[in-house]
Amino acid sequence: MVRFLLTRIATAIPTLFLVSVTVFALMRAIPGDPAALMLGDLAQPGQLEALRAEMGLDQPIIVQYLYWLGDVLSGDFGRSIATRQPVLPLMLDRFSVSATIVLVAVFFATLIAVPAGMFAAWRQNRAGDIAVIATSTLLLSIPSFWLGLMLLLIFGLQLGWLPVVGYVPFSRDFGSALLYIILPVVTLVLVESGSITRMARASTIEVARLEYITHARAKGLSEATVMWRHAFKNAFAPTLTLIGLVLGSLLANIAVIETVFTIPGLGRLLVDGIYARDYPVVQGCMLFTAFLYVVVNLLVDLLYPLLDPRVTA
Amino acid sequence: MKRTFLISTALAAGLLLGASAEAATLNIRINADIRGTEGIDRDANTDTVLHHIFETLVGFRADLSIGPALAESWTVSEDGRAYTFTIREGATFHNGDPVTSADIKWNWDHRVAAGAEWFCNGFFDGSQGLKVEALETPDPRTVVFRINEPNALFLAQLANIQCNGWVASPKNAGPDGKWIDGSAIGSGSFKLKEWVRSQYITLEKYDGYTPPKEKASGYAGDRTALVDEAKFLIIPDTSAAETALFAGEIDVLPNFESQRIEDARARGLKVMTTSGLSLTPLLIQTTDPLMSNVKLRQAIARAIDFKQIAAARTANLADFNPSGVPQASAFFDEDFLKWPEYDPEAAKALLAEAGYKGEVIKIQTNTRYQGMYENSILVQAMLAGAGINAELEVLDWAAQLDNYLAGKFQMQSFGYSARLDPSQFYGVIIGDKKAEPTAQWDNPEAWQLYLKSTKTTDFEARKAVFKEIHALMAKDLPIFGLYYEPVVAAVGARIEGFDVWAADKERAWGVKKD
Repeated sequence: MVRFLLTRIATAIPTLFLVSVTVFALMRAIPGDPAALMLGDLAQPGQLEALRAEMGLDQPIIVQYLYWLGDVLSGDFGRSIATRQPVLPLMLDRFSVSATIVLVAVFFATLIAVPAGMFAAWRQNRAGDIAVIATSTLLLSIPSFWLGLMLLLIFGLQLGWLPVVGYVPFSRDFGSALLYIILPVVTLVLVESGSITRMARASTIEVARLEYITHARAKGLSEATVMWRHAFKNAFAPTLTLIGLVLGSLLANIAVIETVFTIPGLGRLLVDGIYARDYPVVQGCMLFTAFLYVVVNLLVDLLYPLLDPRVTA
Repeated sequence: MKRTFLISTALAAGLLLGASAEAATLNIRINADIRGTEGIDRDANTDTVLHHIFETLVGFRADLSIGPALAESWTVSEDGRAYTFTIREGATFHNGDPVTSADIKWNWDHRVAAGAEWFCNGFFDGSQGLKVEALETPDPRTVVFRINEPNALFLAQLANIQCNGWVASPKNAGPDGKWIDGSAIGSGSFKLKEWVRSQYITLEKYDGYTPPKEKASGYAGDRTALVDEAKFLIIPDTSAAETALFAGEIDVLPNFESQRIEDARARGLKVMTTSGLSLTPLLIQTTDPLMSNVKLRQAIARAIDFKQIAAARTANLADFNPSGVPQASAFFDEDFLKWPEYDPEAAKALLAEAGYKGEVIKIQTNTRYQGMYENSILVQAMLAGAGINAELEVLDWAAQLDNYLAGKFQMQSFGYSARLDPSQFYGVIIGDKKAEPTAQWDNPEAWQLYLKSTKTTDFEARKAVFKEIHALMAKDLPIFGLYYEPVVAAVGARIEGFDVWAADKERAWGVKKD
């Protein structure tokens, strides 16, 4: 197990290195100058050059990269060009916001989608299956920003039940925090449960065709026992992979939802950083996101043997 | 029955207590977080928030004249080289310390010490003519600025909103002389209560504020806070901000889209509008081989129906204005509207004279600022109507700004930040293009006139200089001004006393919330 863990961590290092090079190069390749964006059309003669020099942007790109990489390796992700805040605490702070919403959303999406998928598989090609498939396909097809806006208009604006903008941390006020995350969480649950349902259904159907399930049924076990005790574990393994990917993807791509609901999370930090050409923030966020993917997938791989004894860590 | 009554009474009492304890909070939308509290690293949002906490010696009135703020009065010496300010009686910082002339000197030295980091340093260091040679503090309430020569812009630059040349308590700095991160001890009518980064900034009423005698106007006069708190909510997305306004979660939505005014009014909201100071122009690169041909520029000017663009884009809130003197300026009159009339047939004749053979003219634009994008579409259509082969080059805003700074474009749909004095605007667009690629008009005669405008202190004489500049501009056609972006704000029905002004800066003082 320890060897497996070390091997996986070792293989992650080149991935993260490649991400760092790619992100750094891409940010420098796209037109736009952070110093120019900060000063806008109000810049006085000489100020732009002075600011670029202060930011180290007058150095050759390789030198800039090596400085940045050296700092990152020592735990210093630099300071945001726009806000002058240290990037690492800024990212962690924003990540805690995104993670709260994503984890709650993925938890509920799994709670709803996996039983729904298994139910559909059990009732394959019958009315129940068709209803589940139709609903999940519909949810899969709805863009998250549109669904978010609709929920916002109905529950925030028309009915006035829930707040429209902002975020309150749970550490500050539990009740308010709950109110503020309902709409973004519901949006994500609806959108993501579609794909999880379909995966759960497909893998359950596949497992249900195996001989050991027929054997279990032949022994006279009830359908509930067959499905939950024998089919679930094996059928859940591929779904778990998908959940891992969904989790990683949401943590990286929650920007749209954060923009619609005005949530100060990691995604919005990244998007704002791209608009402002805030190189340290964008580089830090991308590297952090890649790191998250690696960690989530590692955790999924570690959970695999618990579900399927044929897989060894 | 008795028990129900007791519960009801307790609930009612609780509600009443809750109601009386609830602060009247004015919620204002800003689209990005502030950059700090020192005012050197700044943007428009930073200026808006900090000018509630701190006061400049003098401020712009709504009519863009200069009025009292932290200084209750001032005098100018006969030779025009010494400005003596008297600090408002009873003015104190939020920590209770009185504001003294020594504090003003400390602030001035702090700004000057920042060097090029303070982008207004060039306005006062002599590099653009005006130089502050000395700052004297003869007594605790008197400050004397001595300048190198009479200058029409000195007071305007002291009041310049973007300069943040306000007066802060020296206690905002640590023992090393550096500003303490997040510190904001000022003398304004609001003090900083809480800044939750990326979410909101809450200011609370400062009870120790003693107003000047003059009525509130713009950033000058009585700035007494009437609400308990002013909360600046950071909502980057415009649609989300509009939804929040309709849901009553924000009270003031600045920069409201002109096209949405009727909808807002139908929902019971108030919409305030006034003429603005931010020129929306079409930039022309006169060093480009094609665009350097003045006949071609004349043809383009004749091919564009400027009045129609201004009316369509601003829902008739702003009129066409090609000059550097906005309608909101005291210097403005009809002479500043003189420009080649829309005449597609004349445009075609001029194109023939210019020897135009259908070469592509690229108009750079972006979709981040919808106004710039829509203007470019309208211009492209009008140019096509006159036989000019114009193509849009849609860029990311950052890329377009890069091109603006490097002068790499043929035409560009652009938007300037507000300048409160015409000289400030002409100072930006006139210059040597080789040394300053952002200069749009490289004309030595225009430059001399600009310098004259900064040194002429008589109002009518300055106006005459501006007219000369404009007449020359209408001949050279180096830049096509379209209109000054109107200032539009949508305000909740419960708000009283809020108003917009040409400088396009929200003010939470003098505002009540029902």
